[in-house]
Amino acid sequence: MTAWVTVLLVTVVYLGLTLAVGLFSGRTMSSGTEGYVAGDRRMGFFVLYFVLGASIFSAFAFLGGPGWAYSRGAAAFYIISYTSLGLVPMYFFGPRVARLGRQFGYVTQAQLFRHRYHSRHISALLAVISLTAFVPYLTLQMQGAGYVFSIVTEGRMPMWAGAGITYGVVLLYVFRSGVMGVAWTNTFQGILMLGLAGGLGLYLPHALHGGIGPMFIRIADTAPNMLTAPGLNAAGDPWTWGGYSSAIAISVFGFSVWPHYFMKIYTAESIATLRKTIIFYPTFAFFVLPILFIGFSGVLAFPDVTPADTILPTIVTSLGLPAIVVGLFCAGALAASMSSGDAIVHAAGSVLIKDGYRVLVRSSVTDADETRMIRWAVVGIGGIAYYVAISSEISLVLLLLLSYGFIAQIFPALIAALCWRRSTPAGVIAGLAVGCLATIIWNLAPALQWQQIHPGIWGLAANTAVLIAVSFATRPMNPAHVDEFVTA
Amino acid sequence: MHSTGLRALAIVFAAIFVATMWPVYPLVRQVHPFVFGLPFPLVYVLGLTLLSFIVLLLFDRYVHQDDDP
Repeated sequence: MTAWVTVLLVTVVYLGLTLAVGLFSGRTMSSGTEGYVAGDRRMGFFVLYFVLGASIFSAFAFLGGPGWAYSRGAAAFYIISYTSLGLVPMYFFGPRVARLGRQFGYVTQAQLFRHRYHSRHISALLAVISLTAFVPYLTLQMQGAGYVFSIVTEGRMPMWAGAGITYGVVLLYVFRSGVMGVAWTNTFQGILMLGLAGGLGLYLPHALHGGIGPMFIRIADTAPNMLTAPGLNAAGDPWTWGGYSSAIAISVFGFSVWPHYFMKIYTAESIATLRKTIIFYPTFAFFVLPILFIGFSGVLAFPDVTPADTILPTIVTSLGLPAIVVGLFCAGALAASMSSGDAIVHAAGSVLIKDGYRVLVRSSVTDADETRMIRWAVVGIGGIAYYVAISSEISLVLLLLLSYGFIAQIFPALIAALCWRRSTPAGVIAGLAVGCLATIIWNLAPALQWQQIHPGIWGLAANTAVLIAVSFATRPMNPAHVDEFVTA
Repeated sequence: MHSTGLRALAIVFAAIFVATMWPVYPLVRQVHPFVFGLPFPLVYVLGLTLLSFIVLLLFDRYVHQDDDP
């Protein structure tokens, strides 16, 4: 049997196992939206830990993380910082959101805002922001999956076919099992990825340099700029402290309000479980470390690999490793893509129907009909993202840059909703709109750039100022209603 | 008690957050010294990660434990 056939077989077995886990895990959930979107609010610590953790091991982390370490050196340390701090804000607001979710039956992020501010416009605006941010990320995950299959088959299978097969599997189990399918497949994939990342991250420095310490000493002697904070920018020049610091800041503000993370608050079986999950989340930062070791191991051993994101597959396919190991690597890369993609497509379908269609088009829908619509919305959004992924006509770069900046704009609105009695619907809507607009302007106008600070930071500043000013300029809300949220 | 504790926790995490970036992180930007074979900027980031975990764990255990079954 030729090597590529063995690799392909391992990959197909992995996909089959994932599909089985995904389909099987939905058997006990209730048939309505509370079961499909919130898992009947009975997710335990182990699964919740991997649901939230596996999402960080996206195609970006598994392929992009080594690429950052390889090409930008110490700049990649920001990934560790934002992983360790990204979910900390949720420790403060998560228990209150979970209590409100149980009390009022929320399953999406925008439902909380709509109720707090009595505004369907906020719901619609949040749906637009969420979907605008989701589609480019989902597309990126699909492209990553197609790329893996192309490597596995040594170019025999085109990108569109690999992405189609992988996301066909994802859509099947998300359609059937909803969030429970996402949860248990992420647990399975998370364990696989941790094992692979740990194994490769420890093996490669040893095989190529004699160990992790000797690897870093060689890099420090040959290219000290690589290991001096804040590392290098994409062009290979020293990165600015503004760029490094704002990358962490926008990630920390945006991380916990990504709707597919935020919605998992509603799935926890208890508030104690939610808190415990958040407490243990920084441990994932230590699991990111071996991923960075992989990239650093290629700095001197495999110079001039372009694009940098291909350093991991380049190393794995160059070392003459057994085909089964290469196959496991490919399965791990697919797991990274799928564990983010499934959570995103599930949340996107839920947001589209719950926060868009139900609010703007038709409010009176039976629970069964709504669940059916969410299932088909998942398929529809998956189809759109797939089209974008295989279409070379559409550039994702700008959309990806905008995504995090957009999502971070939800953070001030959330703090205001839960902590500031005087905030008003007009203030929140104006803040969100101006924040997103400022993010777009700073992305499109290089002349406005200063110290390479992330455009979303300017958006946050404008958002907060406008939210406060417009709230003071408009009529306050009923104090009894507001107290339900501020004192929750 | 809890709101006071949460406020103190928020201040601690604001300090850790600032410590991951400018103007604090530049103070330890140099590669040397190596600790356990790792360059110092990486050791520093890992140290802050461990600190985040321990602070949150201890806070929850000793201050916030009896809430919400």
